[in-house]
Amino acid sequence: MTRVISAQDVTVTFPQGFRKPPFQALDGLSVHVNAGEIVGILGPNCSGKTTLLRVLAGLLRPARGEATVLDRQPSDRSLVSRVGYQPEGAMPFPTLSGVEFLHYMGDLMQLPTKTTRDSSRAWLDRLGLGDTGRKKIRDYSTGMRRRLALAASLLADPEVLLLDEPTSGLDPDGSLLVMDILRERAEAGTSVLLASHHLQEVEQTCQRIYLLSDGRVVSEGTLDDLLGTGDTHLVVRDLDAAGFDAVERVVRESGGKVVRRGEEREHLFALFRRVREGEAEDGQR
Amino acid sequence: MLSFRASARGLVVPLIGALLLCALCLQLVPFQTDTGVDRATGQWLHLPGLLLVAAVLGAALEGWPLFSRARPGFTWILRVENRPLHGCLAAALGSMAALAVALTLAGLSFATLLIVLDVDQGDARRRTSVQLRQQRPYLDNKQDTLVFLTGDADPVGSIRLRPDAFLSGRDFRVAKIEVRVDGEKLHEGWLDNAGDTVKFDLVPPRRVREIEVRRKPGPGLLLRVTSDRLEVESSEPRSAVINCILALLSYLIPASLALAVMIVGHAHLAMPVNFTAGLVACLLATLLELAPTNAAITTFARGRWLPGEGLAADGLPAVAGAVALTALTALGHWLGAVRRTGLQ
Repeated sequence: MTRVISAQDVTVTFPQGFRKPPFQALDGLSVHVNAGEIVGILGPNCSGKTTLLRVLAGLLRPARGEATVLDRQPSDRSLVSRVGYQPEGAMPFPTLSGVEFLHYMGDLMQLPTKTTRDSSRAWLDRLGLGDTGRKKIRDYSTGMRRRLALAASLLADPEVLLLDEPTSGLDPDGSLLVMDILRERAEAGTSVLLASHHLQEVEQTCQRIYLLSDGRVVSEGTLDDLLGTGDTHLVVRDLDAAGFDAVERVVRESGGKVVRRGEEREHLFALFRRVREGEAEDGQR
Repeated sequence: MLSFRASARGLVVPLIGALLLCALCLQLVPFQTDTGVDRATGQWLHLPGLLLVAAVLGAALEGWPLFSRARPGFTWILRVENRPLHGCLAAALGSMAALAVALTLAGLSFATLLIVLDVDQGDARRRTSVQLRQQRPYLDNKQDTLVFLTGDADPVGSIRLRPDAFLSGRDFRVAKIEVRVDGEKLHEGWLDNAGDTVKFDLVPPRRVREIEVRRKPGPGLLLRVTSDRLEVESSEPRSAVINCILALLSYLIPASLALAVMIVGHAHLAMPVNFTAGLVACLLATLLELAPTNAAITTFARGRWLPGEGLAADGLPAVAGAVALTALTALGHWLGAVRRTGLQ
């Protein structure tokens, strides 16, 4: 598989002022994303999700380690239109309309005018902003701003998408629409790295997950790795080892397949809670 | 274009406020254009200029997220912006263009106000001061002739002379003088009163290169005739509106210096701090006369024709300073010394 995003042993520190030790936002973190893959980054606040995305967007230079996107340094100018980045937080130019904002972003990315106009119209329509494209951004609701932000990140038809809380502030319909779009893009070959607090969306959309805490990866893998395959149709409980062996033998003899034998698959939310509780215990120790 | 629009929008209310302020001042303080007094009394005309510059500095900071540190949405722009100085130079130029439009409108409106209120600008707007060739502006026993050069190509209709006189010894009479234009005698006679304006008409009007003022030998007071005490008056009427617009446009010079100072601080200073730095730079440039705003307003208030005063050269230090500051910041940016990060 082609590795599209790679971060190896990345460490990012921020000075905290006189006499205070620098804050370590990322601590030897390594992640990778393959072509056409949707990868989620989960973690509590201040775990390093946004910092990682900013490193990969070329906005921060790591103190140690190396990050590449499409085999280039993230700050490479040629990546501006090949990598779509949706930061969290407020949008600039509140006095512009949605259409004007997209056109201006297209100009800054040096896209051909026709491409910008066609793409703007298409994404505004797709994201349900077709009728409000002339409205000023300051008059948009939070959800409309997030949709517009996604449209801006998709404007140049990028090969890689870096999304920071893309569904934050969206209603369920908006969230589903965004996730549908991400799946479509991934099927078309776009690689997506998305940071989110919405565990259910991540579970339903992402093929792999990195769980961050204090700037480090504390758990990673596919959903199957982390949560089980999801293909177990027969759940057997309260048997001893011999009993399980007997059930397994019967299943096999009946033409069935035992894919996994172990603990029952837990929900992503439970995993998240377990990791947080583990951290709390570590902190108490 | 974006900064031009943002700045233009931000200047609408201050422009209306500035004009209302001018109208109020015009009612409270007479607008004096008589050159017979030393100080023109239109100094409050600085207010609209300063107000509009302050407004445009704020609008420039508000309109471009990278013009100061930690503005909402700056990460959007920081990643895709590829112009020099993070686009701040383009933003500053856009704001300057908006300020030029606003100052022009303010000048146009104020000049119209003067006309509507029938404030006498008379022939004053035709006047231009001249340049004294000598170092000493005195007519005394050591020097009996002063030569003035006119830089104006327009035909001169009259000459206005207003010398200062000093008591010398026992003689209490004002001196007898002779005025020559390009070597040809125009007038000879006694000055009736020191400090009064004496007007000599040229009939027919003609172009003048050189004016000599000679103190005739004999009894009389020591005279001092500095450059601004001799004016030539064009025979052609000139536009009071253009004169007013040019006076206010002089505020583009301190504004350019202020924006350059803000460009220096764009990567490190928060918006209020950067705004204050720009405003202080503008005020210092005005008060210390690094920019010829004071001279331009005074010249306009005295009713002289600004293009004939050669004030543009007085603005060169401020403009050169603005260009140098911007160039040094661009150099620092290019060398990597001025760097912005995505976490601010």
